[in-house]
Amino acid sequence: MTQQILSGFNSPVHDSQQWYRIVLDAMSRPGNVCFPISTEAFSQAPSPCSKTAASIALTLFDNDTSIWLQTSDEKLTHWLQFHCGCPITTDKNAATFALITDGNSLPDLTQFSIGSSEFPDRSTTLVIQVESVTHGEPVEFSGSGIATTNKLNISGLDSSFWETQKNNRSLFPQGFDTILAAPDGVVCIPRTTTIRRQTPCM
Amino acid sequence: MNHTINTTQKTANATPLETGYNFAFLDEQTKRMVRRATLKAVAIPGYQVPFASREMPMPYGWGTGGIQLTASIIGQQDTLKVTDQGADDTTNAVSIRSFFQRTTGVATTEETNKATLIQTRHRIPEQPLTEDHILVYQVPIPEPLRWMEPRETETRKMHAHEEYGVMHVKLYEDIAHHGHIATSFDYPVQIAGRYIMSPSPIPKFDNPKMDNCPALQIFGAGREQRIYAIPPYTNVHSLDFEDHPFSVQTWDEVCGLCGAEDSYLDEIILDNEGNRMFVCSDSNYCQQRLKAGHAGAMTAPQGQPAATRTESNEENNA
Amino acid sequence: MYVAVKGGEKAIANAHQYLAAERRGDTALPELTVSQIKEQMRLAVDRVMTEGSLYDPELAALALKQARGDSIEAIFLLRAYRTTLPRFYTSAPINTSVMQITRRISAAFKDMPGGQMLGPTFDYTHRLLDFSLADENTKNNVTPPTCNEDVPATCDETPRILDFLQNDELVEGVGSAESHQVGDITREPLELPAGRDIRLQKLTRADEGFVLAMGYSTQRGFKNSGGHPFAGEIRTGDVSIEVTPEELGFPVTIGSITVTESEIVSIYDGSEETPPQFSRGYGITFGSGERKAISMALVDRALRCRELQEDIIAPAQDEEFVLMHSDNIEATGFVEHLKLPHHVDFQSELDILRRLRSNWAKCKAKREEIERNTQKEQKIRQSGTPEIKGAA
Repeated sequence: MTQQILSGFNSPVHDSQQWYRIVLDAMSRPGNVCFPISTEAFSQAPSPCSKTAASIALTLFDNDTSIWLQTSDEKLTHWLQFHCGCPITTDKNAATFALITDGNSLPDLTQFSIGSSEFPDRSTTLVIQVESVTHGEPVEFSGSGIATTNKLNISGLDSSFWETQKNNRSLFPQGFDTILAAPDGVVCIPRTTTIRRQTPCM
Repeated sequence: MNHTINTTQKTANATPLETGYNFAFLDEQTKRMVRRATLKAVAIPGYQVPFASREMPMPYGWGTGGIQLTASIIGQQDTLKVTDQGADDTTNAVSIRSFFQRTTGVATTEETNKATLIQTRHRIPEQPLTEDHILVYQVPIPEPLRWMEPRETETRKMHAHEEYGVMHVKLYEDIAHHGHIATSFDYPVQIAGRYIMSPSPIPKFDNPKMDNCPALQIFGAGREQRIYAIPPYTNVHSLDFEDHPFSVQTWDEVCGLCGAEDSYLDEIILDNEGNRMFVCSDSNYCQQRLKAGHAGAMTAPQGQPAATRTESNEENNA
Repeated sequence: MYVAVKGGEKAIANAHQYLAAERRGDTALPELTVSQIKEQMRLAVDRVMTEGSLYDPELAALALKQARGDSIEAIFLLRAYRTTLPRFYTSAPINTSVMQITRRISAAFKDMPGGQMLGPTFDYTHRLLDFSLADENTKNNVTPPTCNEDVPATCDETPRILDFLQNDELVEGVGSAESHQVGDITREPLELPAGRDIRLQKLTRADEGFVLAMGYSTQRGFKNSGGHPFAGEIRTGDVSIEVTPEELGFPVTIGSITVTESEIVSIYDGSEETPPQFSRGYGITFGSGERKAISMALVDRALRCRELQEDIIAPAQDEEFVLMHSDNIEATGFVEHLKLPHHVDFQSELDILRRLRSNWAKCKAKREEIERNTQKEQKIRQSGTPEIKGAA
């Protein structure tokens, strides 16, 4: 190895369990901003990943999952291959996960797998890095997992996402699922979530 | 009384940890596989996600699906409750709880309100669940259409095309033959208006508790290699007909120990004469009521002789 | 006063202690050693390894000891242990053509290149109890026979008899190791319809009794086509296991295992694209699992019905039926789970049954009343006036 690879979780077993619970909670309650009590799971995140996105990758990716990467950053690719052993794919439709490191410039999301009618679970899960899930454009979520509606603010996500998700919602039970990873928390948008954009009042 | 209180308190784990095995037994790769399947299950409410179930050190059919789910979810901060048929002290519940004590060292409890993670077989606790709970069900046969169509290849198509005619025909035939739907447990439900799902063999008395529940509910079938879920606040409709609405079991009796009128009752044969009594199936619920000072006919020293059974009624569930 | 039964924990602990004592048996007798089981109960060890999907004679012998000789319990122990093992490498496919053969027979030809070799078989023994084995003072120090005849050099390739027929296209090809990635039933959930790779994996770890019965049923006519099956070749011996570590880039041998392989052929009538020829069925087990290997080959052949465009009319051809019910660990768990408490469900069933009976009684009473009324009417009619009768 000519270049040094940044370390992964300090405590792989317990850190990945913690982060899984964060994602599970977020997926169960779309729009809830979930975040671990301690973010000291590892010292330095591999750029351009935030610690949040890197933690999700360490928690869910392995040699059974093929990953589509938005960035061709070599360091990040090596980091993923070293810690997760995950194959990298350029075929969007074959990706188990898509790691989209820049939420402001989204690839064509409709090319990712939505599963089949018999196996709707065989669809891509998008991990999209955004700037914040507590500040920014106000949106309102409703659907499974939400008692009435869930209001939150998101910034750093291209506005085309809302229209794509509207279309994605209509494909149910097929469709992709999304994990928004921000430095201030995790928000999930499963295929069941309906999103209403609110005109900011300021 | 003191004894009862002690046993239900959250106990720090004194069991020595099993050496040579990973935290919660499963290796990390298996956990990741179960975790990914679970996330998809949550994203597609009521749909059965296939997963590569592993051999566990307990037999298939004894909760291996639930155990794999619990093992993939549990962390050091959790407090685990394991219950079987509503009781935490039945042999299989004891065995599963001790497995997790030995492989994780987490705290365990018999009290529903102190638990963060509850693994259950055939019951939903009487105490309403909250957002702080995750309920893990052990499932023997995950496919609600299995008794009408034994082939997986066929039932998969039926789910894909939402062809649920056979289920309605079956329920309708029940009504035609018996005047009512003759399914008392594992009563089929429809999740969020889409997938028909088996709630596992819980009595239909428990079905209403699943609807719009604040807790996440996850179902694991180890032998059949399926995981499915009901996210919190999701509509769970027990199948019925307009002129034959869904209804749950009710009793004329109350619990002989705590006097509860609202809980699922187990019938117990007391003597060779066949005298019976009824007690709460949820042993923790019963104990909590006893602690709070409630009493039933059998708790008094010279109480009434055992209640004898009368017809149980069927009323529409309010 | 009624007190709910408690003490599950204590009961379990006591049961475990009792079990341990029963396992040991009479302590006046010496304890059975794992190496004794490994050496002298080798066929039991082989079955446990095959169905436990783990090649480790020591552990399989230990499992048998712990399981008090119960094969399925021992298989279960080995499978549960196997789950916890990390996977370092995937080996190259074993090459059974290069085998240190201890037994090799073909029922299809009287003689063949490489020769027939009976090996240590029960075949042709008379099944008479050997009472000399009961006398532990007798020394049973038998050494294996030596062979004076020319035996082919062991490491060379021993040709497969079916390859000779394949050259004449009388037997179908073995198929190529296509681009198709080989599945893994221990890592992926079973999906139906299954490929042959998955079917063969399931059959190898399937319960021997189940596979035997399924194979037997095809011989008794419960199948669609394929003529009389012939044991093209059965061979037992040691093969080496090779892996290619990433850091080395070339294959290294890490050890050898004993396997038994069986190839069965039977006449296939052909289809529009395929001329009539012998079709194959394949079976393989760890150790000397010959009965299982032959049965497996029969079932494999029967399960190829979809591929060979044969009608599915018999249980052994029914992929879902065979694959879903062949695993004894799955089966024993679910059958034996009936021992677990089911009183909540039972209570629900009692409730339903009482209501069904009460409905039944009401219906019966109603029926009887109607019958009585009809009889009354008939009596009235019989004794009544002819005018009324005529009017009716």
